[in-house]
Amino acid sequence: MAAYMSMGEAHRRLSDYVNEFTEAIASQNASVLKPLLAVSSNSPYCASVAAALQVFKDASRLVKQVDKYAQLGDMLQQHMRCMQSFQYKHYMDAYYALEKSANAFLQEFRNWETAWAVDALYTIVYEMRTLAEMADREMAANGKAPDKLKGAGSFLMKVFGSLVGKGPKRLGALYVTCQLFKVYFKLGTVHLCRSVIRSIETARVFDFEEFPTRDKVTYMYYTGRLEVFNDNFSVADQKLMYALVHCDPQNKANIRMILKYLVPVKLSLGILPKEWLLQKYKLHEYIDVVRALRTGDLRLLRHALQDHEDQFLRSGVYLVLEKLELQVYQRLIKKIYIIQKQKDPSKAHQVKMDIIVKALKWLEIDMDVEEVECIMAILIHKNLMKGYFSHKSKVVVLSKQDPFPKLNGRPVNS
Amino acid sequence: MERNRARYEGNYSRGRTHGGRFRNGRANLNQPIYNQRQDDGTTDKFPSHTQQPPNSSFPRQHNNRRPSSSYLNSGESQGPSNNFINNSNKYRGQGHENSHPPSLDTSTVLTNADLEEEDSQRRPFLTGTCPDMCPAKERTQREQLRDLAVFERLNGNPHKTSAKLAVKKFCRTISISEIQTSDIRPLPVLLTAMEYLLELVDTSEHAFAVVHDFVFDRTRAIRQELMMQNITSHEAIIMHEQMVRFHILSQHKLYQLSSNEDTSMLHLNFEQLSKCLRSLLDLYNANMKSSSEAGCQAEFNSYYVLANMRSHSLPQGESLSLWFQTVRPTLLKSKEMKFARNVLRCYHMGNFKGFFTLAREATYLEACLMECYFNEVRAQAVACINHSSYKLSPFPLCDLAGLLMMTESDTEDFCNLCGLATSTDDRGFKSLIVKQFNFSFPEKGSPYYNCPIIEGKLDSSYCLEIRKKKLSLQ
Repeated sequence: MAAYMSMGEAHRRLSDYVNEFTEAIASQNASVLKPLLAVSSNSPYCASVAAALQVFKDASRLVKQVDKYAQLGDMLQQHMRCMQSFQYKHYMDAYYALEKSANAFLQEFRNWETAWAVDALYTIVYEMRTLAEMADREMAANGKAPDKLKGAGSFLMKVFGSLVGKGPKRLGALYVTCQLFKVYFKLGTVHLCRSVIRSIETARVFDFEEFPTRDKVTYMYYTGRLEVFNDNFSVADQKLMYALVHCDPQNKANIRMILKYLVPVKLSLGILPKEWLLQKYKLHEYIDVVRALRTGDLRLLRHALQDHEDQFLRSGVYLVLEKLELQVYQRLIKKIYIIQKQKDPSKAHQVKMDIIVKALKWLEIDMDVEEVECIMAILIHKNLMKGYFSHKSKVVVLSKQDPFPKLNGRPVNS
Repeated sequence: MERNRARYEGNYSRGRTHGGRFRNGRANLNQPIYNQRQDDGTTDKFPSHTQQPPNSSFPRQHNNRRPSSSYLNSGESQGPSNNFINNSNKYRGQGHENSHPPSLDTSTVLTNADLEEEDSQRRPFLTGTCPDMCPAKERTQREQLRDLAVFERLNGNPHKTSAKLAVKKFCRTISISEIQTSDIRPLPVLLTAMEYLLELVDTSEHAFAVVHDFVFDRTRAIRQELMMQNITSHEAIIMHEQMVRFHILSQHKLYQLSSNEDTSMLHLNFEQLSKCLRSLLDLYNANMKSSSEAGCQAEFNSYYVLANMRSHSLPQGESLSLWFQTVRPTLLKSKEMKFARNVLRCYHMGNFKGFFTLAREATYLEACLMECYFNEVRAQAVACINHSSYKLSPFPLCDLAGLLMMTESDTEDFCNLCGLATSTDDRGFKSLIVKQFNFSFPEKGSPYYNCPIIEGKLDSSYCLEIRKKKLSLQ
């Protein structure tokens, strides 16, 4: 970026920008239009336009000269203002300008019959979300209550509304949906996802398979996460697996994001990932959890949950992982059973509760016989163990056949 | 209709300092800025049967959601009343068209829900001037209509009240053009009214149901006026805390007094409990001040967990997992929260022994909340034991009673209610016959089983329990 730009140079740059913009609209060329609108991309091009605006103060004159597309003149002016504010890090101002620009664009977009501008609309939507987040950070830093992202959410809903229809524009709806998910997840107003999900899944004009794969993956990722919040593990598994399978295998970051939620889901269904997978995608927080499940080490599970408590609570999987305790108990009893089998096969299927108390004591877990009995009753009731317990003799008698049924992809009977 | 309006986010947004972000006066930009809980005020709109207060909701409902998406099924049953939608649309314009506040249409009638949902920028900022606990105009009106509660009657006369006895009633629909500041009580008067109401809670002159009804209604009016005047101070917090405590112990007392047929009072009380609790949590977020609040914050955050352990007790799309994301880590690790989380863990796992052990250790109010789940946990326990026990040895009722924190005769009664037979041997020793096939969850809830352990936890009087302020140990 030239430190000192001459008036003439500035004028030239701005004219170029205005001309490119109007040309792109005239020839309905979205791929040319996109980079002109991408404020937050910080491209050298945008930077130079912003610099030019600082020098050449009256850009509106230039815009008015191009009266072919007067209706977008407003948009252009606001967008340039946005770029200028952005370059000088005044994000709230940038957002205000962008909001006007975006609304003007949307109005025109509705009038265009073909879907040529959908790609450019994506950019506008993305910029609205991004700039709103930056504006909110600025507001918060100044002690004000952030509300721009919320406003951006409203705008995105409007955009969504403009894409619901029979025409080719409808293919853009899933992208906007995903952007809305990002907004709602960020704001914590996740329940608002419901109305867009309803539109996507039940409106007749939409055929899910028609949407671009990239958007389908993102959609399944977010809806899968929502299912995890509600303990619908089978459905969450389906959705997150879809996302995983259709995700670009080169995109490690995205795969990691999907796995972060898929791993707890799979664990709840009794499916354990190999350690190398967790290492490869840097999901170290799950390593001890998986080890605990494999070895029946209840202490390890509790420690793992404690060590990564903040992380798990923040991502919302803590309660899911906590529920894995029952499976760890199952594994522990199974180990005791196996050891007993080695010593005396004929008596192996009878496990004294005192032994279990002792084993737990070794794991530094203080549990009395009554509570052990309670856990045993639960394990049998939920079909994690086959057999029965005797209250009088404080013994668990395991079935001779398949005493520890595997979950095999079904969630624990609740 | 898109409910993209946070219920109290606007109301209590003044003076918010985003908690730990402004430690030492400097903003810590690494902390998330969307920390606070966003609530779109749904608890006010849901009909009580979907709110499903713990006591009478039986058996534990599981999410029977269609595979495609759990979010589509219950939109209808949980919609707000039509009234609200129409009014709020009229009032706030077309919602997401613009981000600027619409001008006030003063002829619009507002429902209380509208008032509660208002963004502080849009609501008229009132300061009340009424000097009495009940405005004189209302006193006269209610005298004429003989609409005086027993507590408000001067010498028992249903026609006469006084400034010292009458307390302003809760009014659901308020037309904004009719609001006069002389009708609204300012903070000092609200405090007086609250104090007065708390003194009534222990009275033995009237049945608890009558007292509850009165205090329920009048405290609701106090909350309404706090909101209308946008009072979010320390005093507002204290009052909300007292109200929540009142509703919690009421839940216990009403449960004691309830019959199977009429559980509406329980539903309504629980609904208010939830609403009040949510307001309180929002107030905490708006008011990150001294650590003395922090002592109580942990207490009330833990009540939120205990009140919402059932997955469907929260509005559709919400869950405790989601809520935990918004709670400060220091709070999550507090003693009270740890207790509540332990209870949650035992509840989820079906660990009845652990659950009742914790119940024995709980404080009075914690126990009152846990009581809402007692019969459900007991039924699960009986189901479990019936299923998993050795078929030839009946389970002694005395042991079962101990496990489930009941008397032996209540245990027998409960087993029978679950469709299971008990047996008595020649020495009068009773047991539960196991491996029976006819177990079923009691359909219409179950009778109240007295729990002296809970009573034993009450310090002295209800009033003192409500006023109890924890020392700041944070």
